[in-house]
This record gives sequence, C-alpha cells and structure tokens, in this order.
Amino acid sequence: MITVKNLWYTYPKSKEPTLKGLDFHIDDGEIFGFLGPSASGKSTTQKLLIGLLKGYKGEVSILGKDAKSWGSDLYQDLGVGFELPNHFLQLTGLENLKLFSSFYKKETRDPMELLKLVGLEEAADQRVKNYSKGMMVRLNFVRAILHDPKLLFLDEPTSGLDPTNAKKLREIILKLKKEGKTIFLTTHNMHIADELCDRVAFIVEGKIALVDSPRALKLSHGELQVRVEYRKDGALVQEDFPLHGLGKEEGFRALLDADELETIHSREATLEDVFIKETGRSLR
Amino acid sequence: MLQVWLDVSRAEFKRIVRNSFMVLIVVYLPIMSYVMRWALPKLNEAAKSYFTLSTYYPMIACILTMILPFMMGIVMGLQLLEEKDEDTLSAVMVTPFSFPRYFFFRVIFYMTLGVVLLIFSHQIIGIVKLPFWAVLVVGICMLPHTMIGALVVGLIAENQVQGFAVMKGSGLLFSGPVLSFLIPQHWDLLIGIIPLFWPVKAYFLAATVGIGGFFWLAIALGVVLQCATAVVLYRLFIRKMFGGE
Repeated sequence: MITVKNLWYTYPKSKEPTLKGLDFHIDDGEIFGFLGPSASGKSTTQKLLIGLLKGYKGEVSILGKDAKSWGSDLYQDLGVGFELPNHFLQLTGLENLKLFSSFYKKETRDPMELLKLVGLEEAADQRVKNYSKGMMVRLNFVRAILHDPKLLFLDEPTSGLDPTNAKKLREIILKLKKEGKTIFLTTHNMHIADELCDRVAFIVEGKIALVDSPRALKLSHGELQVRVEYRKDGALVQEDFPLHGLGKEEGFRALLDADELETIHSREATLEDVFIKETGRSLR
Repeated sequence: MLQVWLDVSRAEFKRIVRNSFMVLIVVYLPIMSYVMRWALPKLNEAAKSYFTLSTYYPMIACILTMILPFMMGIVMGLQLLEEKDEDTLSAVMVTPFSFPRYFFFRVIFYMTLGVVLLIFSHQIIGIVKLPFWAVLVVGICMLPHTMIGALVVGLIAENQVQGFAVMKGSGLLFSGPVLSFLIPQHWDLLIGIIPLFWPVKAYFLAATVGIGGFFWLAIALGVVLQCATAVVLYRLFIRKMFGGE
C-alpha cells in the first residue's frame, strides 16, 4: 500500500534536513502507527505522503504508484483526518460534509449517517463555530471517511475527545480495519498505538529507530515475570515470580492458596518504556 | 461540473450571509447607490449657484458601482485568509477537487456576484444614462478585478487582521483611475499603467463622449491588462502558498 525508501526532506528555509533517510513499508489492511515526540518528523512524513509537501528526495510509492506520478485522483481513495479541526466555521456540520462530498466523483457515504456514527446527529444543523473541540474532532474524522477511502491517514484522532467518544472512535477505526482499510496513524499516545496498531514505527529526529508489532516490542523489552501485590500485616507487598514454571513456584502457589492476592500482572514493557529505552527520548 | 459550482456557490453564499461584516461589505455600496439616487439631484439643485454637480455624476456613479467587482474579490480574499488561518485549505487540498479548481470556482461565484451588484447599483443610482448592454460590457470588463482583489489580499496579508488593513488601503488602487476624470484628456492616459484605468476610462467615455471606437479600445486594453495582471498575481500567490514545498 505504501513503500518509502530513503526518504529525505529539508524545509525550504532550513539548513538541517527534517527527515533523514526513512525506510518503511505498510501492507494492505494494516494499521501502522507512527510514534514520536513533538518535532520528530511525524507530521512532515504524513504531509509528504498525502501530497501537502513536495520536493522530497527518495522513493515513495502509494496505492501502487509512484507518489510523484499521482494527480488529484489520488484523493478518491485517500482520506485524511487532520490533528487540528479545520472546517468551514460558518457552515453547519451537515453542510460541511455535503460540500466536501460534492468534491468527489464517486458516490460518497450519507453525511447524516456519518454524523450519527459519531453522535453528532443532533448538532447536524448547528454552525461548526459553535461546536466544542471534541465535536470538531469527530467531524474531522467522519469527513476523512466520507468517500470510503482505501487508505486513511489519521493524525492524533482521539486528541481532545472525552473517554466515551475516544473509545467509540477507536472502535470505528478497528471496524474500518476489518473492512480492509489501510490506516496510517500518527500519534504520541502509546495507549492508542498499542490498542490499534498492527505495527508501530518509532521516529526520532527524522530517523526511524525501529519498526515492529507492539506485542513483539513489549515482549522483547520486558521481563518474563509476573508481579503480584498482596497485603501483609496491612502493608502492601510486591513480589516478582518467573513466568516460566509459575505453576510450580512454591511461593506463588502459597499466595494463591492463602487467597491474599490483590493484583497479578505480567511484566512486559509498555510501548513508552520501549521507546525510551531505544531512543533515549520521551514521547511527550 | 455545474452542480459542483452550484454547491460551492451555495456554501459561499451562506458563509457571506452568516457573517455580518461580510454582509456589510457586500451591501453598503448598493445601499449608498440607492441613497444617492435621491440625494444627488437634491444636492445638485441646492449647489447649482456655486457649481454643477451633475458634471461629476459619471465620477460619482463610477466610485459607487465600478469598484463592486473588486470589492467582491476583497471579500473572497478575506474568506481565503480565514481558510488559511483555520487550515481549511489543507482539507480541500486533500480532495480530488484540488486547490486551483476550488479557487477558480469561487472566483466565478464572486465575479457573478460582482457584476450583478454593479449592474443593479448602476441602474438603481440612475444618474448616468447608459444603454444596459454598455453597463454590462463595462461590468464584464471589470471581472478580472475580482480575481485581482482576492489575490492582492491573499498576497499581501498574512491573516485576517492584515486583510482588513489591505482592504482599506486598496481604495488607493481605485482612486487613480477614478480621479483621472478630473485630468484633462490625453494626460489621463499616463495612469493607463494601472489596469483598472481602462474599464473606468471606457465607462467615462461612454458617459461623456459616447460609445465609439475608443470605448471598445479601452475595453480591449482593460481586458488584456487586467488578465495579464491577474495571471502574474495568481502565479505569485501560488508560489507564496506552495512555493518550495
């Protein structure tokens, strides 16, 4: 779906390149997470891939064609959800979607159905300038899927959403994946990346530090142990046991039998732990 | 394509009528024209012992009506700045519609609005008697100025606040050609370097001398010069928007 080889990019007024030889590949039907701290090159990469920035060096193939050979028809099958809401503020939510749907040659999805999908049906006839940030973010998202694209770019899709709506959006993203859509997800939220992505790439200072599935990364950087918590004489005690042979571990079995355990957790790393370990940087 | 243009125009119209400042820019000259329809003959009567105001009717009508296509361009320029501030242009650019098509569809909407308002205002003020077709020809000749107005705002201003300043300053662009009415014949041609001079000159010729060869020459020169200016400004605008990226 997307192949990037040795991608370099320098902004016109900058001496230092922002992207320094990126290489990655995204398969059809995959959710690919692009994780990195602010100013690491995430948004620049996305802007290059969606054609908002030109003048890169290297090879980019998108939807089976060299990115440079695509015209505006590329956008018949590509949807973009921007990080910050960018709507026509004087138009209503429904009018925004209807206007954008007129820009596509192919049949688009029913705007009202999409508004219902993200709980905006009652605000359909309200001007967007009166929307809250969360409502604008949800409108951003449905505008990106208005034309049922094969490839979807989402930049911090749940930023500014309350937990209920964030969960609803994550479920919709997973449903889109089930329908076979390919999704390029830019985020610095490792929980979302962990929950949604098949593979993630860590980008720091314009270079990709590593690419793998969240599960593989967490396992390879974690410890094969379980940590239990229980109370002894009123005080909270933590104890670690090796994962292999756990069933035969006497101390663990004794705790189980005593029915004193409060929590049990395997000690794989979090994506943030992996990121910090591999890059020496935080994701903020 | 016609359906898309209608959709874009409908959205643009709603955006104007829902913004009181934009409404004011669009309607204040036609309202002034209506007021002048009644006020000017009375002023002319009151001042006739001192000077003949009616001599200057073409200039007054020109100020109130010929600037309208340019003003509609300013309105479009302000809308463009809002879209730039809100990053809505990026959302449009990642659709198959593309920015140039979006830009030109809207220019056509504002041109249509501009020429309709020009003819409407001119007929309402009614102090210069010209055949309807002559007003229409001058109005059509003024059309590239809608695009020039939008591009001047888009090129000079970085945000809406600067856009309002450009709107106020842009009156100067119009003052030279209009004041040429007061300059003796032939010397006024020195202002001919300003593209807006020629449609204004054509209007003055039609209002004072009559519609003849020079009228058509001024119309032709107006179209050529304004189109050339619009093309140069559009290229500069595109370079400013996307240059080097």
